[in-house]
Amino acid sequence: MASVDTKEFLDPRVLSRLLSLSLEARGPMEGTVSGRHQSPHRGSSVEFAEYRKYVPGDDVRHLDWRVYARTDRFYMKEFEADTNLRCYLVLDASGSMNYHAAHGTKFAYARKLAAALAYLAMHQGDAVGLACCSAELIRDIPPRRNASHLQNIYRVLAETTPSGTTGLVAGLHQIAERIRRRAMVLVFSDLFADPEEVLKCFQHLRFRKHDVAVFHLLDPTEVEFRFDRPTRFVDLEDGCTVLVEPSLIREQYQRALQQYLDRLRDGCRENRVDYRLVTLDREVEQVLADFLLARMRR
Amino acid sequence: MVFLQPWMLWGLALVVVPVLIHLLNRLRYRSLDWAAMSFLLSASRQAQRSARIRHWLVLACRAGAIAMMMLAMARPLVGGWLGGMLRGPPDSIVLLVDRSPSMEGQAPSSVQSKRQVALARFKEALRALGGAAQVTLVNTATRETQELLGGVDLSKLSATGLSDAATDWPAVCEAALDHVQATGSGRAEIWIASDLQASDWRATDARWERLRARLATMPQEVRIRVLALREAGGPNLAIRVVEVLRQGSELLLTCELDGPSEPPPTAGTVPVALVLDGARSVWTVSYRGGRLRWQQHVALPSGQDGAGWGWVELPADGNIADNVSYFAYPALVPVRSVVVSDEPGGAVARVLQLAAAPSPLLNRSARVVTPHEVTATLLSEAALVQWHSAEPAPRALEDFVKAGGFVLRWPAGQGRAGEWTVTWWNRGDDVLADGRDGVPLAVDELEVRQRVDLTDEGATLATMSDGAPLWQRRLVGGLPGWYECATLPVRAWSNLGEGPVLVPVVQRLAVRGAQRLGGVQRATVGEVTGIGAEESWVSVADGTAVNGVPMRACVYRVSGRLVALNRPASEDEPGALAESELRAVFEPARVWWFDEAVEADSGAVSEVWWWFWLALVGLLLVESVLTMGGWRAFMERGAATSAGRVAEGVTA
Repeated sequence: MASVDTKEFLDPRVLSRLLSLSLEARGPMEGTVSGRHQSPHRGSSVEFAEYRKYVPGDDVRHLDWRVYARTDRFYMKEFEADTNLRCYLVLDASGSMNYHAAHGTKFAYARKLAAALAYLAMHQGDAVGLACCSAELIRDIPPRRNASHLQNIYRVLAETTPSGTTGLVAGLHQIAERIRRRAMVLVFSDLFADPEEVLKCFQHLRFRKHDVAVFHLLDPTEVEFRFDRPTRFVDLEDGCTVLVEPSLIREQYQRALQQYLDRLRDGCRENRVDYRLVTLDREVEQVLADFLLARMRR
Repeated sequence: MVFLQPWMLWGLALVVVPVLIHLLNRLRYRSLDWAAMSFLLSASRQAQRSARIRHWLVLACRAGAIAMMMLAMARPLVGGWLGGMLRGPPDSIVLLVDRSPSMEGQAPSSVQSKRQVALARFKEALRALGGAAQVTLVNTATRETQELLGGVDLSKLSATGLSDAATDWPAVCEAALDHVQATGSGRAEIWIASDLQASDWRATDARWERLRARLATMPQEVRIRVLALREAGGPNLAIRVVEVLRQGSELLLTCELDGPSEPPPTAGTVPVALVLDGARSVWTVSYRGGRLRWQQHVALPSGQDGAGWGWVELPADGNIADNVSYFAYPALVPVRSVVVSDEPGGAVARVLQLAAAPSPLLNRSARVVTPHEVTATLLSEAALVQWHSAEPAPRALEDFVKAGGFVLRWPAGQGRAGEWTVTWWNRGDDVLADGRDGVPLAVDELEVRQRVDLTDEGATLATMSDGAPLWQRRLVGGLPGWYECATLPVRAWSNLGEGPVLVPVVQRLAVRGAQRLGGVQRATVGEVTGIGAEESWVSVADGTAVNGVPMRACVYRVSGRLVALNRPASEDEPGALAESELRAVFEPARVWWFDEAVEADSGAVSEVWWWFWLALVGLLLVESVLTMGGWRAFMERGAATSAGRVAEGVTA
């Protein structure tokens, strides 16, 4: 299999600088092998967790004989279990992600973020999966941790072209239902959908005890809406058009956008979703560094 | 409003530029693929109404700013009088300034009369036009036209000075139209300044019909501008000498005082000065508003047998032009009467002769003649003709009345028998008026047994019990010198021949008729006919001579006669034309109407280009505020810009 050309979305210099950071989960993860993330189960790591009374059937190898010597009672010594995490990268591949301005498309930006995070996760031994959501869930790669899998992910990222109406809401619900174990779900989207429906997805994921982080991608022109002459706007998703004088509706547009952003931010805070509003004029490296450092500080 | 550079107004077409730019911009829209469509649609829905209003306001501000700039560059002039002249000056202007006495009214706080205010307005307007139009003045008293050259002072022209003649507006307007038609200029305007006195305008005059027809068919456009000076001046009283009768060495002056009925004057008395042959005396007249007529006996100096003159005068008030009335009294001449009868020796002729020349009185004579003996010579010396003949009155008799003589016509032939008494007669005026001491004539004692029916043509002076007139007076040639009686002064007809009524009536008529023989005449300014139109009129007051009939009231000596020339009585009548009535008079010509206040200085003309620049700046400011999304955004941006400049300064 030919290697994928990753020059478009993967910068080795950025990766080399980010390698000193690690992708940390905000809660215990359920992995398949030993790793660097806390597991909800007791395990055999060197980190002591607690004592508990012996019950028949327990592995006698974990009895603390010193305590028995002092107290003449059997206590089991338990240790924290370390495991790897399974990271799901969910990319919105709807037509709206194809919006193109001075900083490129939102999908291209999302691809850079996802590729870098996939590399970092894979580098620290975690399993990485990928889902690209459009009107229907179009591409879904289950998480794996071998190096060749990373090439698969990059290939899908390179081959995916955003189009059609958004399928993010349905896609996230599907993912929430499908992933059995606790995992990290990283969403890259402009979230142009009903905010209540989007928040329900996040709630669903959180209900399944997944660690959810959202990179809300917006182009600066979408935020500022500074156009100086009459413009016919063509919807990237369904092709409908509207002709407006931007200067006349700028105020109302910005007000509507701000209400939407406030609602999303509040909803994410209530559901303990790591929400990050990212405008495309920010450097990818800076966005990732902020994200990783914030997670490491927890 | 008028513009000194009206061609700049073509630039007003540029107001469409912002609209065109707007439309072109809309046509030149760009297409943009867009993701956040839901917010766009929501914002578009929300902003649709307010944004559209704001958008049109911005557009209006821009168009308005251009309009203001162009209007300012056209150098506008304002002044109430020139208001509405948006198309620039006309090619020719005809000025009609009312010079009648009523135009001399002035407000208490003003030193200018209506006529002077009108002249000032016209002067300012003509100065503002700067010689752009050919200006002609029509003398409203004489209807003569006069071309006005640039820089001429209107107020110093004799043709705009005070005149005591009424303005015959139909004739004046016809003269103005004649001039416009004769010059054949392109666009003409007739500027009229008048107090719109109804008696001068004569809105029902048939000449207006002709004038309207001419206006409708004139090839060039004629506009009428009316400067209406209808505002009532200060408190004003007018005085007139209605009649002067010489009775030997005494004058009987019948005077009238005219003033407003409402509100009633506070003063109960009015001082009236009498100047008689240079000697001045003052009467005090009780006055309670409205019209007051009274008779005043004035003793003449002893030995004064010749004709003389004088005037009555009121103190200065709201209109000084109606405060003086002149009169001339005749020389002491024999009072000759003629009785014309088919039966010169009959009873009727004898009674009539006796009534005209009672034997105890001196200076009276009466001659009885047949109708065929009436000659022009006989009439020229007579004061009164009593016509008692079945033959129709000759034409010469009407001329006799027009010349100032009096005719009393009696019934001839058979009358209708019956019994009637007199139920009403005019005690206040005319020949049946009460005596000098207030004692009425014994008209109510008359018993009529036979009578004829008078035609209903004249003014009734007495009526009988069945309502039929007993005495009548009618006008001949505008003069009230023709009297008629329905019965005869003989026993078979009535008891009129007993004397208490007949003699005073005949004597009063004879005395009145004798006035013309005394070398004096009364005339009205502007209505003089048949007297010295080509002769020199010498004012007896200051000795100045005027060639032709003068337009100022005074006593003049013309060909050895004294002529008392006074303003028309109609000038003292209140009542002004309403705006709608005046517009109807000139229909279909377009009338620009302007009500001028005598006191205010609202009609002053001044350049007001800076108003438009100010409006331009205001519109641009509003446009900026609207474009930046409201006043708050505008202020915030201004503050941010200032802060930025400060920061730059600190950095530097």
